[in-house]
Amino acid sequence: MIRYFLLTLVGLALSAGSTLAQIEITAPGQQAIPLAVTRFLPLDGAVRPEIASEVAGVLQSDLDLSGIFRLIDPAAFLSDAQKPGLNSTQVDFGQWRLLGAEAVIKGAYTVKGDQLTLEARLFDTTGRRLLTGRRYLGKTSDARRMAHAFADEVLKSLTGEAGPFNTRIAYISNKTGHKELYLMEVDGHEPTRLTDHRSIVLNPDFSPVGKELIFTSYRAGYPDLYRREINSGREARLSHRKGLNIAGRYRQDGREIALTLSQDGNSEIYLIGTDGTLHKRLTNDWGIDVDANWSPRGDAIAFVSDRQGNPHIFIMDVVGGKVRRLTDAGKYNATPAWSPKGDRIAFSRLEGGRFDIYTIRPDGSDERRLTFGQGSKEHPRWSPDGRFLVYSSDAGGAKAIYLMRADGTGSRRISPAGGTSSHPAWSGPW
Amino acid sequence: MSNHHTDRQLAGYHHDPRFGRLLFASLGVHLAIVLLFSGVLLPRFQRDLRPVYHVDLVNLPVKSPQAGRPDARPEPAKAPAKPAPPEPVKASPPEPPKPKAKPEAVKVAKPEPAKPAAVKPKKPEAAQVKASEKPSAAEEKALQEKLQGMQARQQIDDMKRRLDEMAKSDTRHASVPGAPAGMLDGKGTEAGSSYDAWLHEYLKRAWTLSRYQVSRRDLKATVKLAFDAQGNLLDYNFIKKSGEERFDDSVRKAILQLKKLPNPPGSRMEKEIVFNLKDLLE
Repeated sequence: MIRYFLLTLVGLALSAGSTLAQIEITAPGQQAIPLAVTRFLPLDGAVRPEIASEVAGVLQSDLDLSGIFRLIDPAAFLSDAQKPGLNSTQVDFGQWRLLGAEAVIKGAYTVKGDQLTLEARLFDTTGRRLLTGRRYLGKTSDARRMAHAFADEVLKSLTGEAGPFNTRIAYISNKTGHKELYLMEVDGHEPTRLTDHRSIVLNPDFSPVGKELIFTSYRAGYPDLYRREINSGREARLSHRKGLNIAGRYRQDGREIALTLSQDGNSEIYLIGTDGTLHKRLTNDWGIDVDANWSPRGDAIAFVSDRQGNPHIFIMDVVGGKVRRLTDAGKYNATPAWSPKGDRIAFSRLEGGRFDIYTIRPDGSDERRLTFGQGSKEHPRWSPDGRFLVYSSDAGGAKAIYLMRADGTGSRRISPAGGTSSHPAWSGPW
Repeated sequence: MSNHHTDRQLAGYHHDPRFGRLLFASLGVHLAIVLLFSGVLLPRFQRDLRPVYHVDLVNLPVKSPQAGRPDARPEPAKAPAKPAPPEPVKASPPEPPKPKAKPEAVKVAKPEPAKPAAVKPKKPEAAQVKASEKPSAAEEKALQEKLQGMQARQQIDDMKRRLDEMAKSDTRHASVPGAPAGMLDGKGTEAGSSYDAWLHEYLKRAWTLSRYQVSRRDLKATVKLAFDAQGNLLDYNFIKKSGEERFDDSVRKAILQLKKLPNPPGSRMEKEIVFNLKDLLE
């Protein structure tokens, strides 16, 4: 008995001795990665400083928008920034650590005639290793695109998921005096007019499977649904039924489109094929049902209805037809947009005479207001990776396209000056 | 009769000077109410807007940190008594011999360079003597410069005095007056932080992770670290990983920055560090 007691005591003493004091760290001290983006240097061939500054500018803008990084002022860079070596053995990591950089982007370019070769590398200064590297071949006019593509690659390396910077945003602008469909880069560069309907074009949506768009246009005098191939410019009138043919949204497989028709008198949501044939009537209620938006799995739609009085967001199970109300707060909720990951639905709410953007979980919980301050913010749409939201706002006077992170931070205007811009839509990988 | 009486009453009412006073008082009261609601008469409270700084204070670690709680043992009272001994030590003669020893060593080791060093300080002294004997214009300038220097020193002293006064006039108080500065779990007598508290802050600063890099907030990794007496990282191993590569990688990078602790623990040390995201900003 005494032996057992002693053994237990010894065991307890040993276990107590082996227990180390724990230190708990409940948050990282730095919540943004200090990143240095160096100016790309010429390897051989022509020296083109404008290409170097364009590439650096795009990378800085994209990576700053991501919110993941704290960019280090290039004025503080030391001699390694001027060294062309792109191997990890050639990089002076000590210099970058001295500046506090945990990651550094270095690169080089070669221009021969109109041909551009861009080499870009991302290094981890703590581990003294290459994280990712890419070589891009193209024309000198592709420099911005290459930089966007590498920014996507940097995000993939550090988060496991590629960024959305090498994509396009479609929007409606009245720059010519008519509301026409435009396309621009994610940072607002190279705006290109796609339509010349000289009428009213509204509500574009990208096909998830090809480079084509659907939109509503009054070109024939009525609000009809059109489809347009972006590269070829070919266009077709997809739905021109009596009354409204508006707010078309591609299903995730790209084979069907949900849109609002008023062919039977009241506005209801229907399902049509990409050839315009009617597949199914989804809603059937006395209220006005509009603005259908697909869940990422394509099994449900979020839409706006005033069937219970004021306009609110509802969710419908497309297979079973079951409808449930999503929003309770506010008196006017509109333009729902389901996030690509399916975890949240963005929408705009009218309060105090202006719209602001909110997000909510599909089960109706955890509603968050994302925008504040002056101006109406409407028509939110998600980036293909769910990191950002694009929307229209008249905070600066005329309506323009803005972009922000999905948590409401980092908002910035992206659409070029001139006219009003609204109804943005974000493409998939370009 | 009654009519006559009423007429008299009315006449008296109209001629009664109290009516005018009442009217005046009523007007005054109404005016005061209007002014009160308009905010003109309300005292304007100006908030004492002091600049707010966010500072991470990490004291150097001490072996036996004192308690910072008011309910701690009255040991802190003894604490000032303990630092007192160093003063007599400082005042004791061992210090004066040190400067003597240094010049001697210099003279022995490098006699030639020592001479100019000794001459240099003498030059201004000689200049002072000359200036007192022959006050030329150039030397007057030198004197004026010295005077200006003295005035500058006076200004610095004045500024220091003002800073002291400002510090004394500071109305901020500790929530518990007289509470000693120290650690929550401190039981010793030294002002400063415990080694664990210092290590916590040092590790936290070395850890970088963006909230946009992780999809979940319930991640947790436990790492065992071993340091030698000089603070060199001998070994580390993950007792438990979070399961998310980005998170574990960020922890590994933080540890790799601790190859040598700037404050050596003094003896071999092993610690278990738990990294989690409980306080990560949304």
